[in-house]
Amino acid sequence: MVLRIQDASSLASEINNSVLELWGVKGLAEAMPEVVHLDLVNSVAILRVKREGIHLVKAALAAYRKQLAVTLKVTGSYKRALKLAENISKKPSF
Amino acid sequence: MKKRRFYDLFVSADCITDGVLNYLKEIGFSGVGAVVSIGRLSSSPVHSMELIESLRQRGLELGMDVASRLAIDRPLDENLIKKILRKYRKKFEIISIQPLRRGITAFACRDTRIDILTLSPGTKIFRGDIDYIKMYDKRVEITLRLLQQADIYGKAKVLAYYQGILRKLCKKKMSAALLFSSGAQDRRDLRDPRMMASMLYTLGLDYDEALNVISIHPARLVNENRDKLRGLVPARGVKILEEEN
Repeated sequence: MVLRIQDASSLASEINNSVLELWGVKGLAEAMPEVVHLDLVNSVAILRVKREGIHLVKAALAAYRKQLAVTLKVTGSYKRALKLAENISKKPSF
Repeated sequence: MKKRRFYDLFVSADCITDGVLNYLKEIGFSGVGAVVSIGRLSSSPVHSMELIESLRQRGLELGMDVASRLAIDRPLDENLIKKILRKYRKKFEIISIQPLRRGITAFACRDTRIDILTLSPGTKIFRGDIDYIKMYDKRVEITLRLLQQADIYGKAKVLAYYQGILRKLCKKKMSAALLFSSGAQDRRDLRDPRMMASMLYTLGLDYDEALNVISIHPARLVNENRDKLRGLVPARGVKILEEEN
């Protein structure tokens, strides 16, 4: 998942907390979210998530009390996600 | 492939600024329901109407469809609600009610002037209510904000309630009556539409149907009500087709 991040401070732990809070340990195990790329300058991050847990993570981010990130694109390939993140970085942010 | 037009039909009008409209557009929404609560409308009716009109104009300029909505979110007497409906039905494109008592829930399901029932845990919906909702083509709305605000046990309660509602609607093949909105009172409550669709998917709805709940269903309601306000729907089931020039 390519994300536009709203709040970069302790992003990884906040994402884990959001999944834990809504879906518990089992949900976290099904999703296993991991921040694999972080561009603080352009506020873009790439989150690796297990395929079966993608909706769990998105729902958890929706229901979390803090606005952590906006999903820009979901893709199955890290290489393509990186390319997207670089292209998005070049565009002006809102 | 035609692009989906997503609508968030419950965003407080007080928090909608140019920045919020641009943000909604960026995250993928094409339209928003600017909500004025009944408390605000009673205390300053002229200002509320002006606010709605200015938001609609601003939305047009920025490429966002802003629909006006009145939310009756207080525990009012049935007679007072009828008075409000008589006065304001033709001034708002959407009128919703958040029933807090059993009697008001039953009334809201029967009254044809109410478009949406916004449900929260504690609001009981029975089979007869669902039959009325189907008969009068009403909508049932659940909001994301209740999940965001609650603690862990609160979230569990809300999730269980929403699952129950979804189950009841799907059993009667009425998923087309479902709406899912952010219920945002602040910009920080807003979420992108596909995240919201994922939430519905995890509650048991098919993902495509979940996307419809946030796109086609609210768009259809807004368009239908606009036709009614323009006088194109003289009776239920009848629509005057405009002449092609």
